[in-house]
Amino acid sequence: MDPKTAEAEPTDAQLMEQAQAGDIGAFEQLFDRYKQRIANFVYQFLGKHHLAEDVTQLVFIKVYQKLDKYKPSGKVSSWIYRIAANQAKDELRKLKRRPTVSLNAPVGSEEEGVRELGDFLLMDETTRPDYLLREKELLLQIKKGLSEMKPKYREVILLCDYQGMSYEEAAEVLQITKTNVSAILCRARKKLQKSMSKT
Amino acid sequence: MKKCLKCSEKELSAYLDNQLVSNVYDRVDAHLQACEVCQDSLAELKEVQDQIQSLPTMELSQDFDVSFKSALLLAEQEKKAAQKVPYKESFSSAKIIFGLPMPLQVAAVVVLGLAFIFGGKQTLFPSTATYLGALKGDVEIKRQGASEWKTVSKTIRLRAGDAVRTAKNSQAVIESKDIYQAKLFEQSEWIPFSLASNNKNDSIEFRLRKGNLFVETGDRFPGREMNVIGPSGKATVVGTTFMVRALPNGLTTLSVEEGKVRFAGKKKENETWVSRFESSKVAPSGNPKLSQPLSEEEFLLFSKAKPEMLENATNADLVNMVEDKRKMSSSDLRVWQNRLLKESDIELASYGFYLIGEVQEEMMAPAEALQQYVSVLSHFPNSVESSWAFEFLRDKLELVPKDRHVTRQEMPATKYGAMLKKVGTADSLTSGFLKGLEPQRKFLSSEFWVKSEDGTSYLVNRAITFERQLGEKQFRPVGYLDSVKDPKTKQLLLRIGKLFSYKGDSNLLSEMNTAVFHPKGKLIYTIERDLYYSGKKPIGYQEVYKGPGGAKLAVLSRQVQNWNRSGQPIRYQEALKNNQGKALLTRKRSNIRYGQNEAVIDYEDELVDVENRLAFERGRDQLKVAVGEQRLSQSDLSGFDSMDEVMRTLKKMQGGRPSRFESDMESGTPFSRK
Repeated sequence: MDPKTAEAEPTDAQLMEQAQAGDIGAFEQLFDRYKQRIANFVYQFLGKHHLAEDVTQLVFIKVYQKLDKYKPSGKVSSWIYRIAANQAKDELRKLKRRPTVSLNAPVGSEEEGVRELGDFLLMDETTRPDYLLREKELLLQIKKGLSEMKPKYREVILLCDYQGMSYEEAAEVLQITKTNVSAILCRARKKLQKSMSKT
Repeated sequence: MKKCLKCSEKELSAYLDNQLVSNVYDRVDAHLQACEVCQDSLAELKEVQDQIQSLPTMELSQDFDVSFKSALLLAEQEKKAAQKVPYKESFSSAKIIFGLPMPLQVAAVVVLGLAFIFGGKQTLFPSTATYLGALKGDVEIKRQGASEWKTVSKTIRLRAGDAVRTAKNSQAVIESKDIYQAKLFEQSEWIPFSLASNNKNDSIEFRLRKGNLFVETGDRFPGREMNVIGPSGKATVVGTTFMVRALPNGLTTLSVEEGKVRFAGKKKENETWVSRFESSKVAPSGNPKLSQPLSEEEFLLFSKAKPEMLENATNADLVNMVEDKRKMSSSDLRVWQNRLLKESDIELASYGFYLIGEVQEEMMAPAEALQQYVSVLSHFPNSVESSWAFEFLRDKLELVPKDRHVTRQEMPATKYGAMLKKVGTADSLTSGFLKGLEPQRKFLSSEFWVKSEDGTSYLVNRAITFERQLGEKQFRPVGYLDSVKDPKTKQLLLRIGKLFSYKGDSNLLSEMNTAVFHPKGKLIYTIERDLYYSGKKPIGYQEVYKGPGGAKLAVLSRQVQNWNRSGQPIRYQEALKNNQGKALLTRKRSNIRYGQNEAVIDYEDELVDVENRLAFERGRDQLKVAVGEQRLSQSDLSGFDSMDEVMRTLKKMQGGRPSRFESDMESGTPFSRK
């Protein structure tokens, strides 16, 4: 890395130290640095776009509120991911307590709009969802597989395979041993493979 | 499935991630060279890993940052509130100091601008100090504690508590470098409670007693908070553009052009958020009203606050300015668009529209940008430039695959219109939040083309309303409204209204009847839906489409085929038949994840859609509402010749066991739960 660039870009630890001292600008930099990654993780964990933004916001509000609780012994990223994983699991528990079945909003993104029978009757061939959604089939299979997984499998496979974390990093986030990460990841992959081969 | 005893799956998984210690890695590596079973296992694990890596990233909404920072500010404020004077108290004290009656004929206007509008301008002063200067005419200042007004003849530094006023045809400028710049228009009076300081946590607070104040925030504004207090309401700026007006009747209105603004009455608990292109108002002792879309008058007010750009430029100048990437506000663009409609040079006008469309793409919600394009078609159907607009539109909507792309040289604009009709698609464009006190509402607006059997195409504007109750996370659809227009005549052909309602905490729709009316009130068709249960177990539903007089047009039915251990449906089949019993649509299979809103459905062996319309649950009273004896006697589940056949099939689906369904039938209270 260019030393000048290194100077210009403070490390996570430096930003955290400044944020702890009350520098909201430093906190905003941390937010900018991690918001996308956290949002991706939360989105894939929950599988719900509209919830993911809310939860991501909550994660960073919690990070902000708990700034003084952070101890420099661990990595900043792991600490933020840990808060995100816990928040996402909380959200999942809430969803399970009160499952919701939206009758109109389609799975995937809200931006895909709502199609109803009336639409089917009016549409010509090129507007039919099969024409538009065929390529999404595989993606849906993965998402379905993920959603069927237990949260503890889901978080490991997302951290390691989706977010590209090492076993060590994932272990730090989840506060489990590396051996456990390895075992859970293997099981999660097998489960997903089995689930995908069923469909 | 074959298994290898020499190598565990866990080892293979760790091998894939290069996480094995070297001696184990070497052993597994060597083993893999010879063992086909392990090679296959490894390939499967790799495939799963690849698939996970290919999952899409999440696209954060445009206002995510602003929204988060607002939430953060709120969190911070809550923290500070414990140490400082409560909001209510400080608001009241402001009123005591500045609560003199407003001249009835004068409306006070405050406009605050986004950083990007201000960006690039030369600023006059250093540091965070705030300075006042007279731009033209007579400007006077009364220092805090003084009793006399003094004329401002040169630039002076302002202090909190000073009062500034302007005479007729006069204008003052107030600036805190890179934080904000304000213009106080004629016959205005303004008092800053607290000015910008080096500490971002210190909020900037103004009171406008009368007249107009125009403010543009600068690059150093983000992270700060600016409060503008009117006679009956207070607006809090969080990096955005808005306008506060103190109306003669005592109302304070808030209109937002960019971002979101928090708006409060005199009680903190009554505050609300007003989003872009929305306005709200509050009476002196009332609560902020639910937001409404901005009126044309409000758009014009925004534009008038910054008149120089449009007043002094011709349409050709404006085209050049936009081509040079000069920023124009949404309001300016809207005013310019109206002016373009009167432009005699059609090519210039349509090119202007095209440019507006491009800018809107970045600035506005896609649905609104598309409306601009549609207006291009209606005003300039034969111009070359409008064909560009259509081309652009078509690309955005992905109406046709790229390999069917037709360039404008090959086909004139009118043909594009024809093509658009032929393809006749595309929906789902934007969503916006409208947060009232309770419940909160969200609108998903979309615009799409449909083609009727006689080949006529119609433009459909659909607004779906979602609501969530206070304390709920989830928005639920509560209704939608479609307006369908003939693009040529622009005549409204029909209007579709639909209302849903939920009972208690359940997700079950208890009312699902839809009526489609002609604008003049003539019923076109209705949809009636019934849900069927066997005990607690859902077994299917049907929708009957009926014409005027009750004649059946079509029936869509679904029968659940399998349930999971909890009794939730996991597979079903459905059929759509017309009144003659002819199959129009057959969905042969579906996999439903109950509670996850997911279903994959085959349409003649191909993926059709993701569906989640099966709702089965839950509170005792829903069942009574949703199904009942009367409805059963009218039902004829499509795909079956007789009710006996339905019964037989249902019994078979349930493994031949006697069902509650059957016993209920016999007892004359079908589907009711006991």
